[in-house]
Amino acid sequence: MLLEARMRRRAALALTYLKFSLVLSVEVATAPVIAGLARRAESPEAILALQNRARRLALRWLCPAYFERQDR
Amino acid sequence: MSDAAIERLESREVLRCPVTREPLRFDAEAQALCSPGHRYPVHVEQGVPFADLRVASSADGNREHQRAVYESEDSRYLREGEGDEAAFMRAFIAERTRGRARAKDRLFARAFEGLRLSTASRALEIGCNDGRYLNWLSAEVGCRGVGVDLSRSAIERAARARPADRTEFHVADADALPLSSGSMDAIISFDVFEHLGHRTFVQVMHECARVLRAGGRMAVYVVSQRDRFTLHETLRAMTDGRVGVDSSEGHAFENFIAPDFFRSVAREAGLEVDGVEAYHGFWTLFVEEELKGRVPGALVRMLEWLDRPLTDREYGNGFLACCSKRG
Repeated sequence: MLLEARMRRRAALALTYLKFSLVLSVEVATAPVIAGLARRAESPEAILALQNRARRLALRWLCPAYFERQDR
Repeated sequence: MSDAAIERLESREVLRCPVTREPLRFDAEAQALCSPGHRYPVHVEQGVPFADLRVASSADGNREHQRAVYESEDSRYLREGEGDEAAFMRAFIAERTRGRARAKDRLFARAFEGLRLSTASRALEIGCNDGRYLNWLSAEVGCRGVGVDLSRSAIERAARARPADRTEFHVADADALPLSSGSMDAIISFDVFEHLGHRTFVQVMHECARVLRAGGRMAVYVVSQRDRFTLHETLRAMTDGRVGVDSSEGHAFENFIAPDFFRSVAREAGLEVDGVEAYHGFWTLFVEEELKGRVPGALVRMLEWLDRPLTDREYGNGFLACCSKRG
């Protein structure tokens, strides 16, 4: 039982790392595009706000337990 | 108080009455006095003298709250180094002088270089707490230092943890600095001005301009009101304010400072703002707060690069402002 719980915890941690790596990869891949758009846009804040919305979704996906209380 | 203890008070030549700005003399009854008759107690903590130079009438609610926060048992500063404060301080300085610093400390290290201090210089730290940044600066460049804080227990801690006699600490109000005009070559203050309230912040900036010599420099890090896209603000928005508000140390948004407000106050006080660098956007704050800085330096630099679209527009949880006093 104890071993099983430990395995589950490790699997959850590995999954979080995997998700984090994926989010970071997407961030790195899109960073030059975001920077370029923000430079050229009439309202850079709109681009940054859009990026922030995507980051909120990523945070929810990364650690859903963190936001559970608010969702209930 | 013995003459030997007073002799060790190296900063006495620049200490002044915070009310009249008259020079202070020290008597055998452990008091500092100015000629119009203001008296301030002088204490000795483990052989290190320090004066309590607060202005009695200056106490306000915000100030008392801040003092209570930093003197409470919940204060992380009180918990840090508990047991052997001197060893904690030595380790803190050694890590940073070897370049092993958190991302924000690297920002401070760059600011130290910009102050252009020598062994003959004297620097002031406002809100020095246990004196860690002033001691680090003094260890880096060999300058003398005076630290002031409104918390007496913080100053007692600073006196106990002091690694060398190049630094001294006194209890004082930031808006009534007990120092002579033009006596400081540099001023540093990190994570302090956002606690003052805007009215006191304006007064403190004028005091900074007064005690800086012409050509002197100042580096301050303050929590910013321009934090819309930072991790803190994102979490706050996602949880209806439940998470992401760092209120444990007396932080309140209305006291935070916007970079443009800082610029206008500095200009009005007679200081030139040489640069403002926003920091702690989204990912850099994530590393410092969620991963506690335990990540390779290369990854931190990559995350700093990811935050550039934010910090280039001065969006950050805080900003480092470097100023100089016109010559």
